[in-house]
Amino acid sequence: MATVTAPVQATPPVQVQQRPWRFDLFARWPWMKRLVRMRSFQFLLILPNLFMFYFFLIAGVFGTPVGNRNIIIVFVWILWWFLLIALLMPFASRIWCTVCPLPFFGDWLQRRSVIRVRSGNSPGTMNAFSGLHKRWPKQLSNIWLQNIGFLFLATFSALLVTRPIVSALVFGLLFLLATGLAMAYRLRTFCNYVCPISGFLSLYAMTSTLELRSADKDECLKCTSKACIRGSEKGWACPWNVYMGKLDRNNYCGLCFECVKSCPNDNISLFVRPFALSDVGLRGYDEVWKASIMLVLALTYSVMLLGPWSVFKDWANVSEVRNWGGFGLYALAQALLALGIFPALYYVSIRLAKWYAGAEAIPTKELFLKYGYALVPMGLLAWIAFSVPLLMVNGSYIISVSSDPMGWGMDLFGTANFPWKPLWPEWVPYLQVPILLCGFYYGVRALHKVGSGIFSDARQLQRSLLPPTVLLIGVTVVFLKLFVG
Amino acid sequence: MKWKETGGVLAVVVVLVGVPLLLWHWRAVTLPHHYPPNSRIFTLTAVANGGIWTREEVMGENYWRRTPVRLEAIPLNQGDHVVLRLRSADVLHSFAVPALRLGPVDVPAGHTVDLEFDARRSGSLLFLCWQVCSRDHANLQGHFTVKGGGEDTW
Repeated sequence: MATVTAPVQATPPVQVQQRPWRFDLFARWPWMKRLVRMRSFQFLLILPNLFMFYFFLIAGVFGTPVGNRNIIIVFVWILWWFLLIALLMPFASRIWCTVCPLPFFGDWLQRRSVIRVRSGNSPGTMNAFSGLHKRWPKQLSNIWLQNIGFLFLATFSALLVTRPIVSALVFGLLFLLATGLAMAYRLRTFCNYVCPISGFLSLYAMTSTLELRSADKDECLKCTSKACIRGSEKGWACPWNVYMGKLDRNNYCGLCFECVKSCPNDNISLFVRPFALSDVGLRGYDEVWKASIMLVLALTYSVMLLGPWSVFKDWANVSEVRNWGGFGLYALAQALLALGIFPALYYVSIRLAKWYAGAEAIPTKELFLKYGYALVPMGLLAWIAFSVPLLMVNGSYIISVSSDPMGWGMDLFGTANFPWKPLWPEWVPYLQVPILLCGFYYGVRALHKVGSGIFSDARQLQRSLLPPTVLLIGVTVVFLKLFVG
Repeated sequence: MKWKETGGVLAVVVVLVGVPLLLWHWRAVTLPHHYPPNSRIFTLTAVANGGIWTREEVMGENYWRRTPVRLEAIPLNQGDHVVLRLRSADVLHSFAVPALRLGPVDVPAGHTVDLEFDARRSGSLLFLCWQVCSRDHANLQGHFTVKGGGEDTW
């Protein structure tokens, strides 16, 4: 087999090189901008969500212990999860973070206000913050904690998604953690580095068709106030510590819209853009491992929740079956697969790509990180394919639980006894297969887009794409086998 | 801006206080009005593990950590109008009072099923789970003891 051994020079990042089209929503519909510039905008969105969240916690503690009759289980793990993964992530980026109630009280304590802005000079900002305002340790300024936290929660997911009290405890603890960290550390430390939900939102927001960006980057370079990150009398310093002049990925922008309020040059806008082909390229091993964890979890959940193998269900369902040996095996296998085996397979595919393309001059790390983005659309679409049957099969619980949210015998809308009725279950595989194939398609397209920013030679590019594409084919085949046999 | 801030804080307080208040109001005020006046209302929950009918509130918070107190007998007076709110904390149960030809009615997990009857005569009435629900199914039974003027007349 002949290989091309000529050294290859890495070209500038592909995002700079090939900017995809984007459509400015604020320019087209100025009322949207007026809306988000209202000081009370985020508060008015969070308030009903806070009501729901609080009600869910009460239902988890004082409502029926039967999961499919308790609103915290049905609304969070069937309705919210599906909306989050299948609609919000692909089409609205981190809009969930805009309305998330978890950091609400932390923000309140930190800012000592729920709506207005307080000017001041807390370190690094033009606002007055309360609390200790400490810096988060640099060693932890990544998403590793989120990776481990999510994997840990996922290991106990059989408990989490069926036991109302477990869901209430976990969300209650996250809420306390968010509040406590806001008192000790500056800005949204919890959201940026700790929240296990935020970790996968950051990854999959890369694929979204929505982005908040500066309309003109040159304007940002000329700007001396840097009000987007430092705040002003009109808006708080970016809670996510993002400077809009350098923001080129959705990962760590929580769409709070404070920068829209504080930008003195009116230079921040909301854009629609193509799906999965704009924020290409991962930037750290933490992100690659997050992509691996998510893909593997989609796989193990499909085995555990959708598959016909009762032995795996029993292993995961440790609190009922009490098979601690089986649970240990399940937890160990899942962790090994997510943290070791799959990343190792991916690494091998990258080494093969380098060797086959004859691109020894390109650092393996660069290829490993950048090509890792292919796992992002693949993983998101695999999660959507996994979540579709959850809603179609269990969606009717939403109707009955709406009328009797606590399982106390209420009948608020006359639907408390609505029977469990799967919605066209025979159509599930016909939806899952195209969704999964879309994931594969976007994975390969992402590979090609990243690769074309690295390799100038077409033959080298094609050769470098082959091994990771084979890996994607393998992943797709495994999912297809699980979904349609 | 100050009134907006105050309004915002008030709205949060209303949420924090209002949700528990609304739930309390439903249980303490709204629910009893669903039934005829002077009814004796009993909420019975079936728990498969141990085969227990209980009048304790079985909820998310206590189901997993302790066994509820078993209900052996419910004292009634002759002439009482009785409302039973039957619940299952876990699996499908079925409730029946054979002497009254009352039931069997299914009590699905997490649902609340209402049954009403009049205690017209004195004596002891067996109630039980009518279908095999768990290994402790046989224990899922109890009695209504109806006090009246004369001897056992059921």
